[in-house]
Amino acid sequence: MTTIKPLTAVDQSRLRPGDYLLSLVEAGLACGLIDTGDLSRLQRESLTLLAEQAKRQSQGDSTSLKWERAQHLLASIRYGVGEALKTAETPEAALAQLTGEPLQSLYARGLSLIGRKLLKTQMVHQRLAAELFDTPNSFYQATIRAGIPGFFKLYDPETGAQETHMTADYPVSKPLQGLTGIAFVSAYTEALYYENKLLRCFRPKAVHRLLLGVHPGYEEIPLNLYEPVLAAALGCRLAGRSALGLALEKSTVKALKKMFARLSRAEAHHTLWKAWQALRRELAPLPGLDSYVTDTLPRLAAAVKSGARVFYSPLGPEKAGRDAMAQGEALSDEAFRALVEEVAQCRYLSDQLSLIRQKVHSLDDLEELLLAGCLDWAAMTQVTNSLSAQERALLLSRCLGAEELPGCRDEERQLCQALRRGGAGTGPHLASQ
Amino acid sequence: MDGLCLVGGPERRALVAGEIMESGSRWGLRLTQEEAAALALRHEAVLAQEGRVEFGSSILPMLIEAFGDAPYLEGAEGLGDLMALFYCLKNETEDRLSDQELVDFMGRELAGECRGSLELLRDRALERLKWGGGGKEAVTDDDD
Repeated sequence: MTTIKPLTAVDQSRLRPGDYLLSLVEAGLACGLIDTGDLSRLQRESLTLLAEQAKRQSQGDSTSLKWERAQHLLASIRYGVGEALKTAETPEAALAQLTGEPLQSLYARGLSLIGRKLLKTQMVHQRLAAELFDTPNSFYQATIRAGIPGFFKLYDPETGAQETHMTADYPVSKPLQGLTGIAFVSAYTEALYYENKLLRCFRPKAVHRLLLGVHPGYEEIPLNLYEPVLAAALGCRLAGRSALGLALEKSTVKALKKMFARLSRAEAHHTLWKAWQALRRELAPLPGLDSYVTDTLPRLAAAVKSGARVFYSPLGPEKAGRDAMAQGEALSDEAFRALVEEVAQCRYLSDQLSLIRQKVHSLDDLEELLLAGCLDWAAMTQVTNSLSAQERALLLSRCLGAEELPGCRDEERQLCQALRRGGAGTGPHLASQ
Repeated sequence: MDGLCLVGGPERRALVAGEIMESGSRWGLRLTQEEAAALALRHEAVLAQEGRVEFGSSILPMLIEAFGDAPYLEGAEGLGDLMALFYCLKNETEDRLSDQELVDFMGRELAGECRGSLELLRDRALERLKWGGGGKEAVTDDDD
């Protein structure tokens, strides 16, 4: 688990991944591996490259460009050269390339690497989007479905290779400080890919309950989903049970906290690592995930030891079920017809509500029931008021379409009206009461 | 390693002065070496003032070709003023016009309604750009 780094002349702490070339030159000058003669040559060559880029950009129509634009193009060139130099085994080897190879060929190599990285990132993103974990967290969904594709649309390696073009609101677990351009988006997408892979090992409902335990409003905040899920799964393994339910009782969370308090940071790391070995065996084989999780463990150990809350208990089903309906199991046709009849025959509103609470577990069934004509206006508004804002919005979006049609039934109009009038939706969901 | 500081300097000025002399003799604008050197120096200053960087050949040969024999051009100083206006308009149009399009516009206006007056050309061009949103059509459309 301990990596041995070779001793180098270049002070690696001075290297900045976002502006690798410039920081490498500064570090090289500081340790005497390049001199002012090299620097002059690099400056001349970068200007020649800049002139070529400027000419290409204006298609030969303009002999001059704004200073800011020139700076931007120059930064793009530096980024391209930096990407080529990053492939060198050591900073010293990178400096040797920089002094021994024309800047133009390094830049061409960098552009080609960027092109390949871009293509690979697009492929990883495609796979990620196709296997996206089912979560109501809006940041997770929006970043993967819109943020990353937005980057692909705008990114131009020749004129703005250093541009990131996305805000990356969803925080991944892996630290990506200092990265920009395709280097950032590539690492970010890859991190999301592995985090999504781990999330997919668990049922969305189990993850949902756990995350509600982390933060009741997690759906609308930029919360990393992977870390609490991994921690809960590891906690389950440490408690000697299956991780699939992500079900850590409060007493187990307390016991884990006590146990880790007694361990040193290295011991905490080792304990988590052993738990991960057990978890790996329980989960289906997941190529690539092992190294991603292994990289997470030291950070998790550090967090445990710093006293930060790492292990969470899921929220009980009675509270977590607010949105369970969207994912619940639908009734068979026969059972549904029987339920409609039963609800229609109920004498009291409370009996109707109680029946619905007991038997309806899917939003489709609920919608059909509300439209089946077995509920009066008071019952219908009671039911819709008890839905979560998300469920109400989902049902309303379906109704709105139907309302526009000429043959729209009275029940559909009524339901639309009831949903529009709906309360705050903070009460627990029908199906889970 | 910014490098942009190397865009100007004595080498570049000598190159620009050489271009001025060569184009001047070809297009009927007689200038002395001193005038060409002074113009090259002004060229560098105008670029810095307008916040622009120039690569390869300067704009001066194109301006000399277009206006060298114009009756309203008053020697090196007039050419310098024309050059300053060119870069100013280049910025105002946010580079949406090519060098040639801008020079053509300036030529048309000076030969027409501006009657050789750079002040008038500047005012008219800025007015048109103001109402035309700085777009190409604002200065390439003849019907204003």
